[in-house]
Amino acid sequence: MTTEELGSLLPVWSAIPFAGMLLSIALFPLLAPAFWHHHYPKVAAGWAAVVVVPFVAAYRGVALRELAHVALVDYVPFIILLGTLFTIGGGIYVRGRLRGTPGVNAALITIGTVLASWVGTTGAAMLLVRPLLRANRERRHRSHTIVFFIFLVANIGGALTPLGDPPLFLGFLHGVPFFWTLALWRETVFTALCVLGAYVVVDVILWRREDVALRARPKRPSEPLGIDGWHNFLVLGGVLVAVVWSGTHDLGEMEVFGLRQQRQNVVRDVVLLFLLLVSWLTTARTVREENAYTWEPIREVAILFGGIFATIIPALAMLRAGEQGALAFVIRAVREPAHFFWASGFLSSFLDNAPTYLTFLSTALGRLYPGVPEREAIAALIRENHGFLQAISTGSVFMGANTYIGNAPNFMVKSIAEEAGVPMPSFFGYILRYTLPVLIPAFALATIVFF
Amino acid sequence: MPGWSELVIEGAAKAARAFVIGFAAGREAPQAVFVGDDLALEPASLGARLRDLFTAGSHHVFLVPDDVAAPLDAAIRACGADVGLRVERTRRIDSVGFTFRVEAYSPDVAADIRAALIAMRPSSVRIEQLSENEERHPEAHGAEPFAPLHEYIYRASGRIVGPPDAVIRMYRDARTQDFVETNALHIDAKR
Repeated sequence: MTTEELGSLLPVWSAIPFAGMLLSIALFPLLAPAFWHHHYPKVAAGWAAVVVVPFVAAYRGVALRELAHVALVDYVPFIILLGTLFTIGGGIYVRGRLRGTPGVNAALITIGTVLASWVGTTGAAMLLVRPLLRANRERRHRSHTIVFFIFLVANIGGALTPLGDPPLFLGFLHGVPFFWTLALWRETVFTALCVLGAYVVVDVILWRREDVALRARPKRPSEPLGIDGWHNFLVLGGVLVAVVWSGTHDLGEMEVFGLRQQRQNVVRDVVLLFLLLVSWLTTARTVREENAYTWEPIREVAILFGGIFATIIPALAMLRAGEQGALAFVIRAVREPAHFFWASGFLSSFLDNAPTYLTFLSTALGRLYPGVPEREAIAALIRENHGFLQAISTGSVFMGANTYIGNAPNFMVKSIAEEAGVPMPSFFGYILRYTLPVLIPAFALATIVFF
Repeated sequence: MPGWSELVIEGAAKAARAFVIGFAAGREAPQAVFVGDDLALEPASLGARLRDLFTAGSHHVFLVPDDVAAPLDAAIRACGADVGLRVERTRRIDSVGFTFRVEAYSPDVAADIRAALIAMRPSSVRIEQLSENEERHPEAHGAEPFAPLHEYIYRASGRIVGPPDAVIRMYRDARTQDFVETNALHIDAKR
């Protein structure tokens, strides 16, 4: 039995554990943070078991092959890349204290937005959120700066390369060329400029309401700027080279645990692990302490994405079966690129954007190329209907900014800011005060211009 | 300790404010007047809420010391009609109070809030239904994207009650404090 045949046999309720897994990640940190912090591995394992045990019992060989395929092709490279980027990003510390004027804040956010596509949104956010907080320590109005930082650095900025945001790396693993993502520069620059423009207007207004004594202070930094662990930028360059190389070279196939795997992908993963080790061993402990670096984020990603990748199998199989699958109603509901932009964006606002991207990529493939093997279908999608992939990519990446739960770094930045004494808006306050007046109009404009 | 009164004056806001503050200044006590329009005051009753719906902007609350209240009342009754003012009600204030709720995630911020609201409050001010607790989660140190938990959480809630001048000063300070939520000021008064 093939994967496509499997997709046409599975019932719609087999996607429930996937929905449960994503809703757990979205809602538990909000509703029961202490419980979730201590028990998320059990919850993830529970959802995974609900799928894996009956799936293997019912379909045996096909199910085991699907699970092993997802583990080797998606899960392991995904964790290795995120772990490497996080370790390298956590080895760079920006010292010094700037003066949190609108110009300086906009410059820091712009640097973060550009950097996000190369060190990942989590890495860029971790690198720059503390300098931004230090720069604004004495300002009375600070929350808006952190919210716009989440919009741009933790989300929109990550749209230009597969290193930027997990959904795009998953796309890369599934056959989207590394440099294809750079084609999203128009949408990214347009949206980022709209949001950054709104930020500058808001921050200039609020800067004028700050204490006169604060505004009159000298413009030079109160502590000199500097970067510790700068050599990690070179290590980062190594990551870029390894990932690009694996996407542009073909060394043939090899067998790993009985599954056929591209040799260049295995080489890439080994090189990434080596670079992770290099960063770890060559970076002073003090730099990681300043960044409050721990392995916990990688552990979280490894455990939770284990659950996501296990539970996503039935949903993806049903979507790839197109009209023959139990999720044909989803495929019929989204027809145009603009639908894909808003549908993938809406779900990315509340669920993790990486599985959302894969879901809508499979929806597009199921709609346009049902039954065609995935890599061939993706090549055809880019050749003949690239607007769909642009819409799914930008929708998934950009709209992760819509809520705190839309993308993992959002909550991380909120948490770091609150511990630094910045009062952040509530879940609904964030949506009402920032998402609705700033992001939604920007995305509507992007829809009119590009989709 | 001097007593306080609440005056509700009907008329134009600017005229009422100018009359009352000018009168208090004449008695060398301008700082002792609190203008209700500058404060978030809780409506006295359901009836007051309904009345506010229909008479919005025409009734103004002033909190003044007793030694100013009686002559002010008399002055408005005597010549307020010339500028369209009328005293609708005068009440003796027993106390003024507000409820607060705090949730902060840094020991330094918590210490500042605690000092301002609880530890260093004026002796004339009391706290009712005070509830305070601290949680520490050392295992939650560092950045956590998917299962964030604060390493330190300070929660407090209660109701601050006392004479208008001290409580209103605390209320204004509390409203400028981050991580502190306050409800409207409640006036306990009798005719």
